[in-house]
Amino acid sequence: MERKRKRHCRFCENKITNIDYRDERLLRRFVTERGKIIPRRISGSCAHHQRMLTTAIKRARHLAIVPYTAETFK
Amino acid sequence: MSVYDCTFILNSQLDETGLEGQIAAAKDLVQRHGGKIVSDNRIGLRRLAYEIQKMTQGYYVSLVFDGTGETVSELERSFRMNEACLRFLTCLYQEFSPRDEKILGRPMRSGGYRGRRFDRGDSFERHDSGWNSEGE
Repeated sequence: MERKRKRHCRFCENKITNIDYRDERLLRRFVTERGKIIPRRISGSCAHHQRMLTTAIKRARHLAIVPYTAETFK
Repeated sequence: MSVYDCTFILNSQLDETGLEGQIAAAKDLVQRHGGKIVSDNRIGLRRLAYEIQKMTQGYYVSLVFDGTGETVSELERSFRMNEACLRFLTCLYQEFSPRDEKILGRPMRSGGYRGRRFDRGDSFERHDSGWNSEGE
């Protein structure tokens, strides 16, 4: 039986209008250990905020606030 | 005239006077090209997420100014030629609400990541809320 769980967007709940690309702590929550952006079906964000998050993460990567890819040990 | 937000990274090995000089030069350039400084925020020394020009730290500065496209082009041109500037990014200014602790505090239920291939070394366990792959 499939569990139906109500999706909720953390940004909509807290009425966040813009996402700061300089906020490392917030952005790291939406990025995997490898540095990849978490898909919205996992994070629960709505489409609008996921797009904003993606832009913010890409800007933060350019400014070396968040890595493009995490270093992996071989 | 639009309000722009330019964040740039200066070489961390510069001393106090050097840093101040660079920031003052940038502000002066904006004013010379028809811009008005709204605010400047010295974020300070931060560790870089990856090495830039063999450096691991940078001095971050954020400059908010009111100007035209020409002002932005001139500022960026000066940053490109400046060896002390490691990176710059200019965007349209956005008001950011204070970071809400509620977003950071809530744990998500753990579960497996099912259905698709994923990279070794990646784990969605911390973030997956236990949904099945029900599609978008």
